[in-house]
Amino acid sequence: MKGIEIRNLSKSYGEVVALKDINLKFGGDKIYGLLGRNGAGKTTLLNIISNRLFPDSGEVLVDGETAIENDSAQRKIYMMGESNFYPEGMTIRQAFRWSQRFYPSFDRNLALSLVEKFSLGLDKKMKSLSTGYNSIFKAIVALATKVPYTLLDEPVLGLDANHRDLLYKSLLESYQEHPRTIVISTHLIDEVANIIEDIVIIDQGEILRNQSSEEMLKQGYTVYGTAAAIDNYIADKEVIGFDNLGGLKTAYILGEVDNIIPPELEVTKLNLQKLFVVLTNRRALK
Amino acid sequence: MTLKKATAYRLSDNSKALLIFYFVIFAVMLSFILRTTLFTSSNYGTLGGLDASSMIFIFVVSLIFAESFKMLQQNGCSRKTIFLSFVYSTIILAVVMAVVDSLTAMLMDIITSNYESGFFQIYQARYQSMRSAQHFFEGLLWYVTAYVMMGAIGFFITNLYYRMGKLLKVLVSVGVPVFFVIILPILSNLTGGAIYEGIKNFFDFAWGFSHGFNPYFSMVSASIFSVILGGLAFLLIRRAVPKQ
Repeated sequence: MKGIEIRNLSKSYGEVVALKDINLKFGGDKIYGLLGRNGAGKTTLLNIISNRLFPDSGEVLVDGETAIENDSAQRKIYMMGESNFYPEGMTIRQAFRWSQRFYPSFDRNLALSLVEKFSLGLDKKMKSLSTGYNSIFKAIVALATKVPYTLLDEPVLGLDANHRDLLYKSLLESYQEHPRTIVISTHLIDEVANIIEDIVIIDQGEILRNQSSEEMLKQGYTVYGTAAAIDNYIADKEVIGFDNLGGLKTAYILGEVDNIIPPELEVTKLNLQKLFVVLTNRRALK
Repeated sequence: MTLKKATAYRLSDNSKALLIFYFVIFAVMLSFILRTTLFTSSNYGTLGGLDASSMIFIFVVSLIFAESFKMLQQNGCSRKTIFLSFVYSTIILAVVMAVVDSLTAMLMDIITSNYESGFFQIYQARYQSMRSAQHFFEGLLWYVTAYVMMGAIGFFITNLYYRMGKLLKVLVSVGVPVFFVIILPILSNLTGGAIYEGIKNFFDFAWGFSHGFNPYFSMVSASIFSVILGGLAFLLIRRAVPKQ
């Protein structure tokens, strides 16, 4: 069976439950967004898939074989973690050379072109990289490795807006040229909203939502207009949030769009970040 | 396949340190040769035991664990593969160093008669000279097993410390010296020196001193120690997780 399959996975750190009986599947040539608040269990989940951590119970299968302590399964996975696992004294050039040896699918030309795009020096040592360039280096290796399953944990950590934009473009180009399963775990939901196809929301160690981005955004809509018109319109609606700017107001509403919308209002798609906030907040209040 | 790459990585990781190490060793030897053979005929004493430096070297490189562990984990290696890559790279390193040290000892003996290897100093009762074939081959085997054992000790210690929490690290760091410096002498005194005598007898037997300075006893003992320490290291590494 193709894909990463997670079955009844649980993990605790002492009293703290990080993952609670998780069942999930990452498969097909898709870009997944793994979203969750701080401490929701995203990194723990990715670390277990990539064999860095052991689960307390449950299993992770990669194309039908266990991912735990299995070289052949792990060869299909590249995990870009928040920490840099390359030796401090290693240069970018040496890291590429070893990546090529460990992952025969490593595309050196792509890596070199990305190095040029991001103005990253090949002879720079890991210890001399700033937080942003550390992320850039790890992301370049992750994209160039071209394994069936690429896991990106906070890939834009420390990156400025220009580099973030460039990274997302590079990611999409790499994906289009070589479709595969990519899982992006991030806090910057708005930025990845247009990239991800499927969304997994994890909260307090449990899967809160696992559906396509399109389906999720169909749960509601956004209306924009003058404050008075908006207040009038939303009277009988389930509103999950507001934005005010001068006399103008934006309301985020759950439910289907009415057949008749007042002409002074503009309707657009629901904002993923607003939906995420309301879903995770609601759960926290329960 | 992954194991081969992981072993290659470990060897590559150690190669630079190895080159520097032998550069220093050969520089010391060269200066000794120049002093004793070219510039003066006066006696400068003997040079010996440089092979002990090789033991310390292999012990120290085996202590460097965390960086390799993380790098190999990043590149999809299981803990079993990481462990085996340490075993294979240590054995390869031990063989290479044993060959270099054996040849160096023989060459030094030919160039200057004032050199004695550590192996020869310990087991010289068994050999006519350092140039004999028996000395060379037995010395070679002895070096390999001794170096592997030093590697196993280093690997075990580093894994032990890697897995321990801060409190346990402090307890072990203080407890072990306290045991050897204070408790063991007290216990030995209480038993009329029987404990020290027992330890001495054990090492005399294990290193072949009580059997006519037979290095094969030492080789077998070193191999057994290596297997035991390697086994313990494997138990420690198989549940290890990368630390930040």
